[in-house]
Amino acid sequence: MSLTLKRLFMALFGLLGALVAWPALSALRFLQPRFPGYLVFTLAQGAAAGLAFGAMLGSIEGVVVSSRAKALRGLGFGALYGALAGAAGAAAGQLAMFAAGETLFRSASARLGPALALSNGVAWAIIGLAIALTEGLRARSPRKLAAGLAGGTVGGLLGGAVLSALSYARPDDGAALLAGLAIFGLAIGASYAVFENRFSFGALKLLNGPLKNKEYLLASRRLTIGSDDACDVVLKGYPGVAPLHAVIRAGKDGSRLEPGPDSPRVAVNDEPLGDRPLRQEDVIAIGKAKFIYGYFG
Amino acid sequence: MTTRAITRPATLAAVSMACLLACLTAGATPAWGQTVAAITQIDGASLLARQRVRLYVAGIDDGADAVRVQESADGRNWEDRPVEAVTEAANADEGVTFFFLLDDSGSMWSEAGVDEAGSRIGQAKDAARRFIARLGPADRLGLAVFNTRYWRAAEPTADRAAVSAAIDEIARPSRDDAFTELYQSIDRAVLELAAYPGRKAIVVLSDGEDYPYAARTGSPSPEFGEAAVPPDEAAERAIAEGVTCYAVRFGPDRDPDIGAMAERTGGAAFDAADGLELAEVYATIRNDLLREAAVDYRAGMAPGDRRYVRVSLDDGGNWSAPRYYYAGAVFGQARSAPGWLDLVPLLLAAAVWLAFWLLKLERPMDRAGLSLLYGPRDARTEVYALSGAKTVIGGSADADITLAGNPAMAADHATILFDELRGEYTIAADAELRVNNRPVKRKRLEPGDVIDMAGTVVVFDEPTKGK
Repeated sequence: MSLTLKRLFMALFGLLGALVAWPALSALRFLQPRFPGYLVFTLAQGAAAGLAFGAMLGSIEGVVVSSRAKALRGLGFGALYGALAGAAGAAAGQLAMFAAGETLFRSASARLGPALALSNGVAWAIIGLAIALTEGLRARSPRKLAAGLAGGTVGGLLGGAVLSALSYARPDDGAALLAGLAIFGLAIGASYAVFENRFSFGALKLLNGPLKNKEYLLASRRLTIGSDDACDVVLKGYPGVAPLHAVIRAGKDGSRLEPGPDSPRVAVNDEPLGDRPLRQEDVIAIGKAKFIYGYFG
Repeated sequence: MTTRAITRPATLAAVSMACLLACLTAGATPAWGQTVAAITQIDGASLLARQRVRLYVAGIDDGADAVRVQESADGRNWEDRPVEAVTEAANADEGVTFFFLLDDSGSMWSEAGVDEAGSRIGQAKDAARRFIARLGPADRLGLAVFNTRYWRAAEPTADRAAVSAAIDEIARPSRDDAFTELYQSIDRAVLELAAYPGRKAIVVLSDGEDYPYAARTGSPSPEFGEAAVPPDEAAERAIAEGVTCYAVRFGPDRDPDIGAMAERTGGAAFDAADGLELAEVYATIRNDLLREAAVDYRAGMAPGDRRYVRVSLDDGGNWSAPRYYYAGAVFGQARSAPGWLDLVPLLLAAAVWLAFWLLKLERPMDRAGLSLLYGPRDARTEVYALSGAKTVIGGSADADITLAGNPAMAADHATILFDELRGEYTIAADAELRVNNRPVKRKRLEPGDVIDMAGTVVVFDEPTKGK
C-alpha cells in the first residue's frame, strides 16, 4: 500500500471512529439526568469516545499491512488505552469548559456563541490530544506522539467548535454531534497521516512478494522486522524470514540495520550487513523479501 | 417572585420606626424584613469534582433554617436540590472587595455659605474615611469619582493609606465637567471590578440624577463617546460580572431608576441626609455583605448550557430572583431519545472495518515483470510483463520494453534472458547498468532486485517459487 493510500486509510479510520462513537455518545447524552454527577458522566463519555477512536486508530497499522492478528491487537490496545485517555481527556476538557463558561457567562455579550464554540473546541482539543497520544504509546514512538499531539489538537479544536456552533444553531440536533465527531476523527486520522510522514526517520518500501509496494514509516527509534505478528513489519509469505529477523534502530548518525537472533540472511545492496548507517536507496534483503530504504510519498 | 425590597424611606431612623409600627399594628413581617433572599454570587468551581455549587446568599438571618434551593434548565420548571451546608458570615474570612463610586459633580461642592467640610463632598469624604477605619483585615477598597468624566482614584487594595490619600485628592471639578454620567460610570466600575476575585460590591453615591453628556448635548461625550448605558444594561452587566451595586442617594435630587437598578443586582438603595447617616449606611452595607451566607447544594444533571437556580429561606414561601451558572457538557446535550436508526452508523463502521480486516490487501504476482520505481516519467505504477526467452529493454520504440523520456538510455540498453529449464531470469548489458546499487554486466535476477539503467530505475519481480 502506498503512503497516499495509507493516508486515506488513516482519515477513513478516523471517520469510522466517529461512526462508532456517535451512537454511544448520543445514548449517554440522553441519559445525562440519570447520572449521579458530572464527573461520572464526563468520564463515561470520554471513555466511550476514546474507546471508539482508539480502537479504530490502533487497528490501522495491522489492517494496512494485512496482519489480522496485529489489527486485532491494535484494536484491543487502542480501545483500552483510548478509553482511559479519553476519560482523562474529557474530565480535563470539561473542567476547562466549566472554567471558560463561567468566565464567559460573567462577560455576557453578543459574542457568547462564538466564544462558547471556541471553549468547546479547546475542551475537545484536550480530549483529542489524549486520544491521539494513545497511538504513539501503542507504537512506543515519540514521533507518533508528536503527530498525535498535532492531530489531536487540530482535530479537537475543529470538531468541538463545529459541535458547539451547530448545537447553538440547532439545539438538540444529534447531527451536530455526528458532524463534530466526523471532523474530529477525520482531522486526527489525516493529521496522523501528514505529520507521521513528516516526523518519520525514513521509510521502507517492499519491492516484491505478496506485500509488494507496502511502505513502512520509521516513526519510532526501533523498528522490528520478521514473520512474527508482534513485529512492526510483519512479513508473511516470504521464504527465509525468521520470526524476528532484523531491527532498524534510528540514531543521531542515521538508521542502522541489525540482525535478529537467528537471522539467516540480511544483506544491504547484495553485500553482507556492514556497520554503517543506511543510505537513501539502499536495497535491503530480509530472507527473500527486499526493501528499498528512503523517503517516499 | 420577590426580590429583596430594600429601598428605604427617608432615613434609617424613619425606616426603623416604620417597620416597628408595621410589626406592631399588622402583626406581620414588614416588606423589607421578609425572609427573602438574593443570590449575590455563584461559585461552580466544585461542580465537576464534587457536583457541588456554592451560592452566596444575602438575607439569611440567624434562625433561617428552612433554606431550599431549586434548579431549572429553562427558568420555568423547577426541581428541589439537596442543600448540603449553610455557612453563615461566609465573607468574613475571605473579605469583600468594595468599590466606592463618588459623584464629583459641582452640586456636591457648591452650597452657599458652606465650606468643603460642610458640603456634601466633604461629608462623603469623611464618611468614607470612617468606613476605611472599620474595614476588616481581608477587605479591599477601591475608589473612583465621576462627573462628565470617570476617574479611578485608587484600584481595589488592602492599603488603607493609599485609599485615604486618594480621597484627600478629590478636587472640585471644572465648569466643563458639569454632567453626571451615573450609569456610564457604574458600568465602567463594574468592568473594572470584574477582574477581581471573591465577593465584590460597588457603592455608588450621588446627589442627583443621571445627566449624560451625549444625550443632553447631542455630541459625543469626551469620556464615553456616543454610547449610552441605560439602567437596565448597567444592572445586566453587574449581574453578569457578579458585582452587587448599592446606591446611596445623598441630597434632595434623586435618580428615579437607581433604586430598582441596585435591587436587580442583589443590592439596595439608601437615602442619607447628612454625613452621620451616610456613615451608618456604609456600615449597614458592610454588615449586610458580611452577613451573607454560603449555601452549598448538590447540583442537578439537567442538560443545557445555562442552569437557573433560586433560593428560598422560608421553605418555599418566597423565592429569590433566579440567577444562572454555566453547566454545558463537553459533548453537548440531548433531550430526545436515540432511536434504533442511530445504530446504523455503528453497524456501517463495523462492516467496513470487518471488510478491511478480512480483505487481504495483497496482489500475488502471477507473472514475472518489471515495475518502474524512479524514472523520467510520472508513471511510477507502470508494470511491464516479461515474456519469451529474451526481452530487450531500451529507449527505442523497437525494444520489447520501451522506457522513453530518458536521453541517457540506449536504444537497447539491457536484455533480460529467461532460462526455461532453471526458471531463472538474467539481466545483461553493455551499457551502464546497476543492480541493487552495484555496477554489473550480467546478473541473475531475484525478486525485488532494483535495476538502474542510466537513471531509470525498475524493480524486477516474479511469482514466488514453489507456491
